Amino acid sequence: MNDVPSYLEALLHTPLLKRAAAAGALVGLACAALSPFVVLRRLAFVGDGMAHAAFGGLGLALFLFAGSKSDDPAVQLTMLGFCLALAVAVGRATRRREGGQDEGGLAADSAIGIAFSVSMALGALLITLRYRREPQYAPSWEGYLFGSLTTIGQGQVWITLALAAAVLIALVVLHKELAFYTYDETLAELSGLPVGFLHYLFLILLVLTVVLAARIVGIVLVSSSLILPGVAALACSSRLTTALWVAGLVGVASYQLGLYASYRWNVPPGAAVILVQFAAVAAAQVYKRARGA
Amino acid sequence: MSAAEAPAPASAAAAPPAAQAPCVIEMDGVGFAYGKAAPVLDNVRFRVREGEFLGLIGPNGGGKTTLLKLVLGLLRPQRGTVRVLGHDPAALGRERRRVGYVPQDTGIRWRFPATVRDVALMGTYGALGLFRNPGPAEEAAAVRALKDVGLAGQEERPAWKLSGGQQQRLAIARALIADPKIVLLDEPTSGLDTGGQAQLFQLLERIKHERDLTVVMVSHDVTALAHHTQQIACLNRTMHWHDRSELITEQVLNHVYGCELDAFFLKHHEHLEEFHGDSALAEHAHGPHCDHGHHAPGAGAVPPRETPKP
Repeated sequence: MNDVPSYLEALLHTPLLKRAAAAGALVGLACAALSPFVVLRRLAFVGDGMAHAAFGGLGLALFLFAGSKSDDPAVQLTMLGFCLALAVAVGRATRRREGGQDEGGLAADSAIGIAFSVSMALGALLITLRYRREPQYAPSWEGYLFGSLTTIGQGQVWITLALAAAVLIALVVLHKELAFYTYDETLAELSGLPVGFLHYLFLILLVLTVVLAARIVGIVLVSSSLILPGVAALACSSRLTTALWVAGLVGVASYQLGLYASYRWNVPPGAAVILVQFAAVAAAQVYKRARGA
Repeated sequence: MSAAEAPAPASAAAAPPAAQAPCVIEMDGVGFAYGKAAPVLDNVRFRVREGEFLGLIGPNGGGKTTLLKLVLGLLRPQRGTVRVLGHDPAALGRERRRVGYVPQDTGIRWRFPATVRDVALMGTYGALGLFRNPGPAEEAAAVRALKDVGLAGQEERPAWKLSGGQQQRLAIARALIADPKIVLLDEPTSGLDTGGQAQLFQLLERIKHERDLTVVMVSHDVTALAHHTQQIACLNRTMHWHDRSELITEQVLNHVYGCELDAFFLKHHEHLEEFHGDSALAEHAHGPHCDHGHHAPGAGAVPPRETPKP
């Protein structure tokens, strides 16, 4: 089987493939590092919803800035601002409230569902309006939904590097606080931990990851990368630190294997990555059963 | 002043005898309602003195958990005042972790990836602050706390694999490791069989003495509380206070658990002398009222007899 050497050869000499491998590794790492927390805190729906909501921000930005393209810094920043505002709103909706009144209030998941579906509808509407106004700049939103791992520019690689660095620094500095907060929010608060800060910080990291990564690998792949490595890692780890390492490994490896599969069989890279991640989940479940855990 | 010459306890942190001990928890005229619903607590007056082991009973929805949350500062009273260790609980700051809390649902509900040691060590995170990880001192405290609750040798087990009673004790260890002055337990016996309950009470009594704790325990199990605690308070929207377990008669229970909500107080201090078997206590008994001077934070307000010997 000389496919692997020829792939590695191509990887070294094809800038496009090299960038895809680098950006994939970094996005995979950033998402995977957050994924055990996303899974344990039951935030899978928030991550997924946020990825879709970012589309509303994209539509808004494209509509506001005439002649803009989705890669323009102004568009990216508007999208980021939109999503951060949404993150704060989600943070308020999902924050546990002692003694709050439930009368007439919405359940947090319903509120999130409304915010995200409306945001996405708004995005679709605004992009259509923009297209009618300026048909010469046809924005591709399929690219946003499904991403284009293999058409990444060098600038985007730097963005993913900054993102991965931000996530990893936050986790290194705050891992014990995030662990306790994830374990039991009330007890963490009673111990004097700044749970409000941790709550919003985590959501902001999640939004940054989702928004920046979705632009590069697509919404669907981001959702998958925020959930599947965490599920796989948690199934076969008895400590959070181990789970974070396993998730990181699954995250990085799935992108590399997915890219290889894409090269070897000429299949969409995003789909290949997700299927590799699913294979990891399945393998972890088998391992868990085999251990009798 | 015979009490003044009484031998001071060896431990510098030891509590003075119960009758003259300061109040560590004081509630006055406390009212609380969730939203616009009927009040859960109404004009509640509640005192816990340093070193007491107090049982808190009452029907479901009677406000027991709400009262604990007020003491913890998780809820703010809409009327009245709550003072814990002499302060508003929300303003306790770093002293907040001097109030250990063992919640009703201590079970690790999902497969949280942490060993028994990891969970116990979480109790040190607040004191450690940012950037510092548990070191040898914290590890030693974890070993001691786990030994105290009978979980020695289980340190490396995944916490979620523990039985219900073991998880309960792990939660107590996690609270103990922060070196609390007060420990609040919310229905710790609810998931345990009779043997487990007896063990838990024995454990709490031992830890209370070894660590000079004040313990407040919410429970449904009146009989067990009557056997093991010095005092029982009954809460059903208003407080029905008792100092002697034997005074909990069927009539009283019917009264508390029934619909009549008129508060009644049974005098507190009359039985203390007999109960504690210390004749010196009687002259210092303050009844259910707390002398605030005894617990003022300023050193000048502390009576000389409370100054521990070096």
